[in-house]
Formats: sequence, C-alpha cells, structure tokens
Amino acid sequence: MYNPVSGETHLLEATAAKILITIAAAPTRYDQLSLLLKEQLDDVSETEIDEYLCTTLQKLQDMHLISAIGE
Amino acid sequence: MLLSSIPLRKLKQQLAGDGINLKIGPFVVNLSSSLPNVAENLSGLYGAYTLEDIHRVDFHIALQSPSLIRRWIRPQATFSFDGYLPFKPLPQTQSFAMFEWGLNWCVANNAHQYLVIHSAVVEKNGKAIIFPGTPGSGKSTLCAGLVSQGWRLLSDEMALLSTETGLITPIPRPISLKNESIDIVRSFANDDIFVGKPVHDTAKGSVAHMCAPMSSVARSDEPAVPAAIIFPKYRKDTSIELLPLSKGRTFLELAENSFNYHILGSTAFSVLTALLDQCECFRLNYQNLDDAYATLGNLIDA
Repeated sequence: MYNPVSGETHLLEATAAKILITIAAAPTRYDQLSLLLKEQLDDVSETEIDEYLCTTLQKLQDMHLISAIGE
Repeated sequence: MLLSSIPLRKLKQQLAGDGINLKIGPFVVNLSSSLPNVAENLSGLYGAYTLEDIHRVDFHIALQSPSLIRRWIRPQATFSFDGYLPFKPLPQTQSFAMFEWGLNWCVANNAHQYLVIHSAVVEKNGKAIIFPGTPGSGKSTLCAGLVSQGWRLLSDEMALLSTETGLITPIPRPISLKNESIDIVRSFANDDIFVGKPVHDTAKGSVAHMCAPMSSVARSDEPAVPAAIIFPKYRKDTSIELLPLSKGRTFLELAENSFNYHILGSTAFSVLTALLDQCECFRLNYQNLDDAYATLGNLIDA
C-alpha cells in the first residue's frame, strides 16, 4: 500500500491489510477488531489472535499508518 | 538521415561545431565534442540512428577537455549536460563510456514522464521481459546474449514505463559489457554482432560496448507490452533455475530499483500495480547463456 502522506510504500500481508482497511473506514476498537478476526479465523486460538493483533497494530502504528486514540 | 550516411570527416566537423542532434529512443540528444575517437565510436555504435533536423532537443551534452593542458598531459574528458558538469573528469580513453553513463544519468534524473527502472528489457513475440538488477547480477550479459540471437532490444540499462499507458518505451542503445562478460558474449553471439574494443581500467573494470541491432533501433517508436519480470543472477556454481517470485516482493524490489519512484509517488505506485497485474515474476539463476536462452525461449513461447 502507498501512504500519500509520507510517500512510503509498505508491503502488508492480507489480514493486516484488512485490519488497515477496517480502521481506515472508521475508528475501530480493539475488541471489535478481535471479534472480526475470530469470526474469520475459526481454527485459530483466541490467544494467537490476540498476539497477532497486538503485533500487527503495533507494526501499523510504527509505519505511521494508524494511531491509538482514547483509552 | 542516418548517422552512418555522414562521412567521418564531416561528422567530426559537426561535432566540433554545433554538434549533432541524435534521436535515441524517445529523446533527441545534441552531442558536441572535439575529442579524438568520439566520432569513430559514434560511427561504429550509432550508425543506424537518425539525425534530427529539428530544434527540440531533450539533452545538450558536450564531451570536452577540462583544460588545454589536459589535452596533452594525461588527457582527460569532461561530460557536461546543459552546461553543468555532474561528474569528475575521466581519462580521455573513457570518453565514450562516459557519454553512455552520462546519458543514463540524464534520462534517470529528468525523464519523469516515465517510471524509470534500472533494468534491461528485451522482447520476443510481442512479449517484453524486464530484467531488473544491480551491477554484477548478469543482466547485461543475459540481455546481450538474447539480443544477439534475435530478441528485440528495448534497453540494456533502464525500463521506461509510460505513466499514461503502462507500456515500455524503447531506448535501444549499445549494451555495456564488463570484464569476463565481454568474451562470454563474443563467443555466444552470431558473427554479425559488433562488439567494440574494450576500454580498460575504468571504475567498472574493462568495458566494451555491443552495438544495438539495426532492427531494434528501427523499431524505436514501437512500445512493448510487458509480460514478465525476471531478476537474473549469474552464478558460476549453479544449474539453471527459474523460481516464481511473489508479486509483493517483486513490487518492493522494483521500487528499490527505480530511479524516480520517490519523485512520482502515487503515480509510480499505480504504474507498478498495473505492471504486476499483467506480469509473471521470477528469479533466474543461470550459469551459461545457452541454458538461459533455452529457458527464456520456452517461457515466452508457452
């Protein structure tokens, strides 16, 4: 994906891209994202999903593609 | 009028005066020089190119001596572009190689109507293959080998991707061969392929230029449709391998190999996205030109 603000290009895997698209559409809470992933990845444990989500959100934040707000 | 139609003496006079307007791919280059051997090299390697009698010139290039003393003592040559000297002088024996390198620089830094990717491009049966590569990857050797066997040369050095159409604009020029690849290509190529005398002790080692085929130069105005992107790697200790490459990884490598991706920004992103939609992507490890020629021929014919 191309970030028009920074001019940087990032290579995202498909699930990370879905998370980004979801957040880009509207601010999204962590538990909403977690639920979304659980619905789509029914063979993956809750712990694994949480680990993945935390890592991915941090990665997207480090790329300056998202920022945490609120609580 | 073709450059080859001008007698050498007259060519020297024109170069020493206002210069000549040479059509190279989509560009018109005004070249002037009073250095020895420039006219001879032009005749040998650019004879099939047309001279333009028009006033639109894209690049004004002059190859000259930096000073009177340097004409006689350890003679040197300078490259100027629109009166600006982007490089340090080089030994005069390297003046023609300097022209080639300098022209690359001019295109890469100014032709932003194209996404310019550091790569060789060849075409067969209407399908163009882009060979991106860092120096030493073997892309010029591979390109020269294919071209010497009838593939069409679009460029040895840069893919010009139109930002409007996504097609590749040809800029066929002499192929720069270095060190051992000079003999490899000479032994592989047909007899009618001309490879100039090597110039030794350049920053890249020994360099010789292989003439672009007349048929490729004659088709300079015909853009090509990209069909495959292949990252070549010459290795002495490997058998031939053509390995599929993911489009995501290919995208990033192409962006890294582009001269002006950062300048074109979102336009470059769109051009590369469209390019990858229509291309297969591979990494090619090869040890000899015979195997590479056969493998790529099969790929294109498939």
